[in-house]
Parts: sequence; structure tokens; C-alpha cells
Amino acid sequence: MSFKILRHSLNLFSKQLPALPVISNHINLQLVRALPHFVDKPTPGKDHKQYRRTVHFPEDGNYTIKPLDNTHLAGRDPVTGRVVAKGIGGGIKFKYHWIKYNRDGPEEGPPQEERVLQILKCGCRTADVALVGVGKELKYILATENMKAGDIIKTSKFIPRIPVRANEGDAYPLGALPVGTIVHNIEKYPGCNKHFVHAAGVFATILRKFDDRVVILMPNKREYALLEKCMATVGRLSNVEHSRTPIPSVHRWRELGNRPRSGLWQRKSGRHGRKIKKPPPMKLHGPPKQPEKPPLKLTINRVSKGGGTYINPL
Amino acid sequence: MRLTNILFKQHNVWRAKLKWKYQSQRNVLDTGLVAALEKKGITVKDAVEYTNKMNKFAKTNPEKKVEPEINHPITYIYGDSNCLVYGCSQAQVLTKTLIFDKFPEKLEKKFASLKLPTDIERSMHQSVLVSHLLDAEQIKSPYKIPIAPHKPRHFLPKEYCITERRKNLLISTRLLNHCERFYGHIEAVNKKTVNDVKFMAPIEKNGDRVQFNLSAETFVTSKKPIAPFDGSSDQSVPDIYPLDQTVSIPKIETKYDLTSSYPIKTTSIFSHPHTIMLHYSKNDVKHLFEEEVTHDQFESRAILKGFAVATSRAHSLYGLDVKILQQPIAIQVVQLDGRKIQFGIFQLNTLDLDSKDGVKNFWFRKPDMFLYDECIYKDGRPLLSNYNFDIFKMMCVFYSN
Repeated sequence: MSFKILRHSLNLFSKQLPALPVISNHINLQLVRALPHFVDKPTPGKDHKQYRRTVHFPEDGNYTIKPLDNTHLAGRDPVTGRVVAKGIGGGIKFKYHWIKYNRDGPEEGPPQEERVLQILKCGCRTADVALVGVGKELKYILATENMKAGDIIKTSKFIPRIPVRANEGDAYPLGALPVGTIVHNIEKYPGCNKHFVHAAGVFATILRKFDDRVVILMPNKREYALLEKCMATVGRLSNVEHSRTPIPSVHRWRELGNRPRSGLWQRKSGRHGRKIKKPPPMKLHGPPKQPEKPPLKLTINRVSKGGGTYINPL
Repeated sequence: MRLTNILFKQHNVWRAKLKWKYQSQRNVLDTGLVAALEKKGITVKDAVEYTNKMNKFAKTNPEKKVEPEINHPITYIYGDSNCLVYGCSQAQVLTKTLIFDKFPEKLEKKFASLKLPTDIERSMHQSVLVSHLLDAEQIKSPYKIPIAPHKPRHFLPKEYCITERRKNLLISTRLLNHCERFYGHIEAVNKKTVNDVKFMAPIEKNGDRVQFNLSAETFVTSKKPIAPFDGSSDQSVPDIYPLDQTVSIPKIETKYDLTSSYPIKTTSIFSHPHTIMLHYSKNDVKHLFEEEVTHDQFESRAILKGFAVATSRAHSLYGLDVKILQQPIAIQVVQLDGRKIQFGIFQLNTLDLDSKDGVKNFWFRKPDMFLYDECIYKDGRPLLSNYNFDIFKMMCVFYSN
């Protein structure tokens, strides 16, 4: 046990006991772990952050197709070290394929053509991964349902007057695609590094267009209104049977990195069972209006004249 | 004496501290003061900058010396462990070659008419068994073999076996030895074999600098060069659009001087290149994206090595700036996998690689041959099934060329 002895209490453990008058009848010792220590733990699921693994990206930050090593987090937040997401731990350590979600293309002229070289499986995601080559560059993208080696896929950022008749795997801005198109890997707003719809077999549908926005129906049945310049890839993601394949044994469940969960089912708690409610209204996504300033953090620690720091218990 | 504090249900200090945790974080609202002052021409600066400067004991990091950036030209270096992702088509574009699926008529006739004595064929058959199963080397295999297909993560204990390098070395030396035995002193006197030689050949094609740093495990040289073959066809070099010729070749951006090196002096009698025998092993030749190497990619390695040998020879004879060769240089290539053998002939006709038309280089190939079907211990006995006699025959044809 470690002890933190407050300045105003007697020091019982020194060799020479000070000849002081008795101030109090008890010694004010506090265990360090009994001191209040509030830690800000993040809420799991916020900003689509995952707590399964940290990927060891290369130090120079340059993109590479080499499968990357990673360390398991087991549901822990890497900053605080506390468990944030329950039920995660162990499992096979798969190598991570660094996917280029941003599909860059020319803003005018004919679309850029790329060739699909190989379709591979990635253990860190449910969808398949396609190795794609263009020019001198090789990169990974998410593979669509009917994609195979040898296909040519196109990318363009130009929005023509007449909507483009796009094939599976092509990437165009939302404004260039006709209503009813099935898309995935949709940008949140132009220039954002966050994309929607990545899981196996899922897709979003373009419902309607108004002003400079395009409304899409997400897999969770919500409607999002995104700017028409947001890039999206046409088609449904690969490995469609994933949601229909059951996990045959506990062993396989643990191999996937999931810890045992309690089978407790409470009849009247209101937690279990199907919920039927009206979907929330259409949400407009766009770039943040003002850059968010971090809040000012005030402290009441002060430096004493002697040179040490006095830590107020408050 | 109580060593711990009494735990109260309502702890005042903890409650105050929790309140302070939230109250200590304040969102500073923009009062509009800064904007109003700047309109009047008064600049407003953050006081924190100046307080840090006033602190005498503040640590100042010395300015790091930034070296001036020199943009060196990018060099693509193709080595022994690399593999082209687009296979033979990419190799064709890089080296401006045409592929022929049959050997020249002269060699095909020789192959058809050659009859080998049974004792030599039997000896070769036995040496394949010896080099794969009966050799004394016992080293732990680098490969993990799963217990069952449905259990890919559970592995059998690693077996002791002969290394792939040794298997390939034994097969290649035994093939050559048996050829020497068959043809005798007459042919053997005209040839020399060297092991583990390095070739360096640079090319500059369409603005790309490519350096081939390749090695041949066995290099057979001869007194006379191989007579060049005629290869006329309507073929053209394939188009690998949208890929570039140097895709998947590792590149470096530092200073690199292109060098050409042929391992044997041109003044030597035995300097003419005859055959190269290459070894391939799954452990040594890998893609950066860690997927299996296909047969097409396996063959492209043979094409590039043949090209590198011929180019380094041309540079040693005619200089680094040579474009059109006085006489084509033909090289026989044998690539071994332990079981799979690739026979091919690379003929370098031109080093003028930039232009699409004109004279092109040739690659004659045979469909891949397998030495055997199975070479394992079965029921405790060594078994070699379906041994292919054509391979030694082909090797003899190559040796006597």
C-alpha cells in the first residue's frame, strides 16, 4: 500500500519524532488510491472509433501496401488505459491492410482509369479488399460485390449536366449519379477523411436531390442530406453472405476477438425485444461552421515561496 | 490505530472536487473585443507568448539544422527477392520483348531426335530422389502447416527437412553433371560453371531509371556464343494501361549511380554467357502485399534475369551507351522451384527500348514442366512418382547448344 502523507499531519515514519503538541487525536493518513482521481473516459461508438486494435502505421506517414502489424487493445482507451468497450479481447492477430478511402480523380476531362489486380481478405474488416493499380502506384480499396481481378474502375470529380451511367466500383460525386443508384464509401463532406458505409454487404441508396444536396438512405434507415460534391463509390460491398453466416461455436467467437457475454435476459426491464419507432428526421451533414476551440482548463495549483508545489486537495 | 480513513457515504471533498472538475473547464466566448480593437488599428497578441519568453529558466530548443533538400532522380531497383505484380506482360513492356510459345525449330528437332542411354537416365532419376529426400541436411522447415483446412490457425509441429536452397542446388548441379557425363570431354572442355554470380544492368526507359541487381545461382559460360535465332511474328509488345512499366518495383529517392557489371572479364576465353540456372523459393521471393506468387509472375522473373545478363554482357562488350547491337546475344534460362522447372531462351536484339517500333527482343519458352508428382516418404519408404524424363532431355539439348 502506498501512502500520501499530507503536510499538516504528523510524520510517524521518520526516525526522529518531532516534539510537537498534540494537534489531533488521529493521524491523517490517506491511501493514494483512496484519493479522488477522476479520469475522463471516452464513450464507445463516438466518432466511429474502435477499441479493438492500434495499428502500427509507418513512422514517416507514407502510404504503403505492406500489411501492417497491430497490437490488441481489448476494449481499452489508449490514452487513459481504462476499459471502455466491454466484451472485446483476445483473438487472432490479423494484419491490417491500409485502405485508401479517398478516391481522387480529375475535376475535368475523362475519368481516371484503374485496374483491379487481386481481391484479398482482410481479417480486420468484414468486407473484402481489392488491390488496385494505377500508373506507378498500388493501393487498396474496398471490394464491391461483383468485382474481380482484371476489372477497370473509373474515378472522376466532375458533375455533368446529365447524370453518369456508372458501373460497379466507379467513384463519382453524388451529384453526378442518377437517383436510385446504390453507393458506398460516401464522404461526409468534401475534403473530410471520414466516410460512411464500409461493412460487408451494405449499401446506401440515393433518394432525391434538392438545391446543392443529395439525400441518401443509409443502412440504418436514416436519411442523410450530403453535399453533391461528396465522392461516393457505386455498388454494394463484397462478402454479402457475412450477415447470414452464423458463428458456429464459442471457439470461433473467441477467435474473432470477442469475450464471453452474459446470457442474462430480463423479461420486464424493457431492454430486450424489437423496438418500432419513427426514424428521426433527415440530417444535414456539412463542414463544421467554426473551428472548435478547446475549452480553457483552469487550475488552482500554486508554487510556494520555498520552491516546491503545494497541491490543494480540492 | 486505523490505517485507512473512514469511508463516508457522502464525502464532501470528493463532491467539491467533482464540481471543480466540471467548473474548471470554461468555454471562452468571443466578446468581440479583439475584432473591435483591430478595426481601430490596435494589434492584440496572446500574453502566453511573452510570459514564456520572460521565464529565464525556460528551455529553448536549439534550432535544428535543416539540410538543403536536393531532389535526386528516383531509381527503381529490381532485386532477387522482388516480383512484378503484372507478370509477363509487364516484363515484356519493360524489356521490349515478344514471347514465343515454342523453341526455335533447330532445338525442337534436336529434342525430338535425342535418345539417352538408360543408365544415365536412371542415375538422374535416383539423384532427384537423393536430393529431395535422402540428403543428410536436416533443418527445421520455415513453413507452418495447418492441422486441417478448417483450422487455419492451429499448426502441426515444424518438421525437419532439407532446405529448399539445398534441394535446388543439388538438382541444378546434378543436371549439369549428368549432361557432362553424357556429352563427355568434347563439350565439357568448352564450358565453365561458376556459382552465385551477380549481374548489374541499368536501363533508362521513358524517363524511368531502372537498375537490375540480380544473381544467378549457377552460370555456365562457353568459348563460343550461342548462335542467334530468327523470330519473325506479327506480335507486338502488349499494352498494360492503366499500369506503368515500373509498378511494384521498389524505388529509392536518394542518390544512386546506375552501374553495369558483368562478372567475367571480356578478355577471358570463357566469357561468353551460355546458360543461367536460377533458384526460386517461396520464402525468398515475395510480394510486398504478402500474397502468393502466380506462375505468370514466376516466369517474369526468368525474363528479367535473362535480360539483365544479356544487357550487362552487351555493356561490357560495346560500352554503356550501346543501343543497336552488332550481334544479338542469346542466353538460356532455367528456373527451378524444386518441382517446377521453367526452360526459356532470352535473345537480346536491341537496347533501344524507348521507341515502340523497330527491332524487339525475344523470349522463347516452353510450358512449365514438373519434375515429379510426388516425392515424399510414404509408409516409411521414399517414394518418387511420375518422374518426368523430358526435363533431363531438355537440359541436354540446352547444354549441347
